[in-house]
Amino acid sequence: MKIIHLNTGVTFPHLLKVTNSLPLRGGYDIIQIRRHKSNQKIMSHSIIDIEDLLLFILGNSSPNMGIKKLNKLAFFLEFTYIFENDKELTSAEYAAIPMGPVINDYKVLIKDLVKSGKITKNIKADNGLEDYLPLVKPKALSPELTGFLMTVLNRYKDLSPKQLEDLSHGLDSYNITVHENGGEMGKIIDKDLALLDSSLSLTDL
Amino acid sequence: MSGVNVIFHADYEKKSRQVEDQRVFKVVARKFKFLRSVGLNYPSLNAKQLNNEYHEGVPVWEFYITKKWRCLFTCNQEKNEIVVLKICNHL
Repeated sequence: MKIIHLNTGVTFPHLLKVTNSLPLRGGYDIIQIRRHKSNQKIMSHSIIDIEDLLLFILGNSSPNMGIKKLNKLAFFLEFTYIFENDKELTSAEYAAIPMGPVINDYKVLIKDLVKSGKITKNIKADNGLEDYLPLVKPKALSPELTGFLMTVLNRYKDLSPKQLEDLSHGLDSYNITVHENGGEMGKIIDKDLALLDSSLSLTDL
Repeated sequence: MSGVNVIFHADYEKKSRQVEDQRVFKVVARKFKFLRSVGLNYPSLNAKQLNNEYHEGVPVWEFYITKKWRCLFTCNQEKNEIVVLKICNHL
């Protein structure tokens, strides 16, 4: 048997990756273009805005959701969508922190949502923790996308924040991101790594 | 079991040239680089052993990459090595 020994850290020099961000009409706020040398192009539009994804989650889950669970559910919906459809759901980035993946700069995003009157923040008197309620509905989604999001949401929405955190700690996308950055936290999770997260699959593989 | 050797079988390169989506190979390389450093741990590898499939007497394992691709490999714990056999489109 002929065996070729390669360094697994090898990159692929024949692969050129170009990502451009462009303002677009029609509800899309980002377009990604990945160009291969062979002129193969992979174009993926973000399907919905991250704000609408959060409003969808809040509007279809038990009331008074905390920030940790909201972050985790957004991540699971996004990365399941990528695994199943090989394209991104929103243009949001997710960062790997000790408690698992979170929307990058989620504090700014939540603050803007509260300020614009789309969600309201409550502070529980007993423990001082914050939770959120939606005040508006997300933009209309296609029946197919709504069905997909509900399927994934129903899978995770009754889990506790800690259970969701534990699940996310088992994902390749999270672990590889942490490992590649020498354990440094807060780094962005490459959405291409969702392709490895087969445990997110909606069907038995 | 750390410091695992990861070896790509000759067919891997042959097959890889036939596959149009190079993104798949990029993430697979990152996965095995990760595995090499942390050691072989089947739950985190999230792979399944194939029934009655062997390569040179060693059981063949697989893991899925999206819905379309799967990676086949063998794992020899005595030699402390993974041999990546091929990545194939299973649709």
